[in-house]
Order: sequence, then structure tokens, then C-alpha cells
Amino acid sequence: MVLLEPERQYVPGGGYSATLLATLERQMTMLGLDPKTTLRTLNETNFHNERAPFLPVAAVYFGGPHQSVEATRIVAQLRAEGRFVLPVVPTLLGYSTQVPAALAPINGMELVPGDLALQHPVARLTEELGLMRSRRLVFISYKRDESRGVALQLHHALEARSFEVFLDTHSIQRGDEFQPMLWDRMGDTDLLILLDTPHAFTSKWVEQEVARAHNLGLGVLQLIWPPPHKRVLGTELCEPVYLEAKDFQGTASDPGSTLLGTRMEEVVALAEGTRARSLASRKTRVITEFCKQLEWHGVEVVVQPSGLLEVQHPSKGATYVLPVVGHPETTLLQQIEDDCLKCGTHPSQGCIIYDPLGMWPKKAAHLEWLNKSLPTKSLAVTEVLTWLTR
Amino acid sequence: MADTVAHSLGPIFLSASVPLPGRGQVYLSTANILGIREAVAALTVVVLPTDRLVFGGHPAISPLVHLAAERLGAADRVYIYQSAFFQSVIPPSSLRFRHIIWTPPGVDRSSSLLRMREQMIGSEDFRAGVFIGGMDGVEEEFELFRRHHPKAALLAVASTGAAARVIFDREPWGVKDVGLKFDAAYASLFRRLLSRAAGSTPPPAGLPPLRGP
Repeated sequence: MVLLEPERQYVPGGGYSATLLATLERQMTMLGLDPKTTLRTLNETNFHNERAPFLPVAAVYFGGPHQSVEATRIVAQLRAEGRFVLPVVPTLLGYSTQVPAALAPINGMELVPGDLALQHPVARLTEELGLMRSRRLVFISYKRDESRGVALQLHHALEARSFEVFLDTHSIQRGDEFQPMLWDRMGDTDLLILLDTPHAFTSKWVEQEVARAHNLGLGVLQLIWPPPHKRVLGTELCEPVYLEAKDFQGTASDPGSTLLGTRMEEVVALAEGTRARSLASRKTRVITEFCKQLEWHGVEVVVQPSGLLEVQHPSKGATYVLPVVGHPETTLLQQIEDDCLKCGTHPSQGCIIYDPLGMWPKKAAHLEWLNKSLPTKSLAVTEVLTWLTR
Repeated sequence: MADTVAHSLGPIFLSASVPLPGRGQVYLSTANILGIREAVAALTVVVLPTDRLVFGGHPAISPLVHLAAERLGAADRVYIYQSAFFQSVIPPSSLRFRHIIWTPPGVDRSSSLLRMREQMIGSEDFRAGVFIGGMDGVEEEFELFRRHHPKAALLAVASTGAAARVIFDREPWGVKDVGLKFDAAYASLFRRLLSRAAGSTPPPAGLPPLRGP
């Protein structure tokens, strides 16, 4: 997270940044995440030296009468990358004089007097950082006769953290329709957890699921046991976690064994981190690539704090685009239509962009059908050129 | 802008692998595994719709390239080289390519690898070599490639870390593009740099159509 606040020294208690950080850390702890290990805070002094380019980024700019050269430069860089920057100001009166020019086209958020802990901006940030995506789907890929105990335990632990878990997909009979449907569901997932036991990869499904996960850009967390079993050759793109005999209740090699509660909690926290990183790279696949394509054609894009991209379409004029990770849903189409109406814009000036990789042909056909009936359209990121010339 | 016909980039050579513990801290300490995966996936999307991609199989990279090629309907454009020296240990996922070229074994591991690399790198008149992640093998392929193809573009994707980062840092400024170090939107990065290498104006940035799920 990037916190920019040229006014920091003029606001008591370390500025708004300190308040916002404290609230965000509390929220993360409630979600079962350790802010010390999962959150990195950057500001004007350490942005260039300590930024890791592959982590999810959300930025807040606290505006006011003073501005700083460095904060303005950082804002310009983040904007050029299509990153989320939330401008927060004490009052919207004279907004454009309180923020760098790069933020002027973005709708700022006004500080609410009763919101002392800055819950409103924090809510928007947690959403942006992928902590609060409404759909949290996870696949568990495993070989039942070697790891059913851990698989079931994981299922329960993840459900308790509001994940929707796909387990036992192998036991369902695979017909012609089932396989593409399963791959389609995977395209809407953020995370695959691979239980790498000695014979897991003798199942062709396990192997295919891992390859698909990498192709789709999902996070893949790999649990490896029992010792001395080593990770399977060819799985080096996964994030490995070696489980030791002492991590288990009972014998590690027993298929029904489960992990100690504390170790399972650690695994779930690691899974959250893997998920957040993969969400960031999938966002890059959709949003940054989309912004770069438009930049290539000289089309201006502004990332609004609501998550909408405001695009100056060559023939349609100002258009609102909602990029999504995963597949479009009708509720999202409704949301963008509502957003357009709130902005006083016709809903046909709004659309969703998504990455169609792995989508079930029937779902793609359904989106086409919806496109004929609804004013707000779904647009595959692969169709951007056609859309621009339409 | 309406021009959606993809331009030829010429055959592209890929050298990529994932650093392993115990094989050199210099590679492991900067390795960006997620970056390696994203860069390889993006390269297939940019190159395969129009051009051939040649690479030496690697257990973690081969399945990714294979699946991408199948989905793009471009399995015919991938050429994978393997040394017969490793025939007994190559995972089945690396053997599914349509064009798999076995090179004769040498007396030991390193001579076998050298024979494979020389045959692979000399197989085409490459326009560009792309170097992603990797260890000493990627460094060796870089030097060999440069000697065989002095006019080709050399893209060491420093943001993926490991050997690519070592190579990038060693090269003088003026011959390397800063996007290789900082740009994580790999598809547009490769489109820009490979078009430049092909001597054409950059093609429109439209992604190619995907086939099937």
C-alpha cells in the first residue's frame, strides 16, 4: 500500500496516514491476516527503493493546500501503470487545487467528520487489495487415497474463512459437458491448493489442473508431505510448503491424518497471501494490458476510485469500463448500469471487460445473448480493438 | 487502427527456467517465480499466433508452453529440443509436443547439453532471443545465442530475476530497454520490443483470438 500525504507534518498524530494504517491493520487481523507479514507500507521516502513490482498495489493520496514533488511524481507513475489511487480530501470544495494534476480527473473522496478511524477509505482499499472480493473460490487438487484427511480439514478451514471450496471434483463422472464446465469454474477461481503426496501426479487430472491453473494465472500453493517426499519435478512454478511429521496429528503418511490446528491456520494464511499475489497479476493481465492498448491508440483512460475506468472512446465519448478478474456476472452488469445512472450517463456508455481464457463456450454464448438484450455490455479483453473502432 | 492482421515477428528463441535451491544463491535470491510464469505465458500469446517459438524443454516451463499452444491452436509452431542424454528422466508432460527434436547424447551431462544448445540455437535465423528467470544454463544459452545471431535482439527480462537479471545488469545501457526491468504487463512489453526487433512498426496491440476453453 502506498500512503502519500504532503500535509503529514501539519496533521496531529502522524497525519491521516497513521490513522488509516492502524484501521487497516485491525481489519486485516480480523480477517486472520498478519499485517506485519502481508502488508507493506510505502510512502514518499521509500517508494522507489522498497517497492516490489509484483505485489498488489493500492494507493491513497491525502490532499490539501501543500503538495510535494516526490508525491506528485509517484502519483503520476502509478496512474501511468493504471494502478488504483484514492484521493482523500478534507472538503471537495476546490478539489483540483488540493491534489496533483494527475488526480484532478479522478473523483475524490471527502473526509466524513464522524469517520474518525477512516473506515470508508479503508473499506475501499481492502476491496482493491483483493481481501474483500465477494467471490472467493478455491480448488483443492489431491489424490483421495493419500490425503483425504488434510483435504477435508482444509475444506472446513477455508469455508470458515468465507471461501467457496471445490473438492472431490475427481469423483464426479466426467462427461463431455463436465470437463469444459470444470475448466470454466477454474477461470473464475483465484487459488489452487495442490496436495503433493508421493503419487498425486499419477492422476492425470491433478497434472492437468495444475497446468490449467498456471495458464490462467491462478495462485498455486503446494503442500508437500510426508517426509522425505520431495516436490514433483515440473512443479517449480508453485509456492511450496513442506509439511513435517511434527505438523500432524497422527502419522503424516496416513491418508486420514490431519494437521495440527495452528499449522492449518498458518497454511490458510499462506493461501490468502498466494491468492492476493495472483489477483494482482491477473489484474495486470486485464487492466494494465487494457490501459496499454488504449494508450497505444492515444485513447485517454482515468482510473476512478470506484474501480471504474473512464475511457474517452473515439466515437462514443466518455465511457465507463469495469475490469473484472474472473468472469462477468449479471449482478456486476447491474452495478455498472447503476453507476452510470448515478453519473448521469446512459447505461450503454458502460461495459465490463474480462479475460475470456478458459470460459465455457455455453457461458460465452450466454454473455453474447445478454449483450443483445442489455444496454450494458460485456467485452472480452481480446475484443478491445474491435470495440474501439465500433 | 482497424488493421488487425498480426505482423510477423520472425522465429523467436526462448530460454527460460526456474531457479532451484542449492544451484546458486545469486539466481535464487532475485528469482520472481510469478514473474517467470507470467512472462512465459505472455510470450506464447504474442508469438505463437504468427511465428515459431523454439526452446529447450524444462520440466516447469514445457507444460505451460504446451497448454498455451494448444489453446491458441498453434501447437505446430512450437519446437522443443531435448538431449537424448536425459531421455529416461524427462517428465511425460514434456513429450507431448508435435515437434520434439532429440539431439544425440554427449559423453556426459554438460557435453550433451552443449550439443543440444548448439543445434537448437543454430536451427533458425532468429530475430530475437528472450531470456526469462533461469540459472547457469540460461546464461550459457545467452552467450551462445549472441555469438550465433549477432544481429538479433536480446531480451533479458530482468523483472523475472535470476539469470535474466544477472545478464541484464551486465549489459551496458543503450542496448537494453528499461521496460525489461520494470514492466509487468508482459504481453504489451513483448509486442513492443519484438516488433522493434522485426524492424516493423509496432502492430496494433489487439490480442489474438483464443480458441476454445
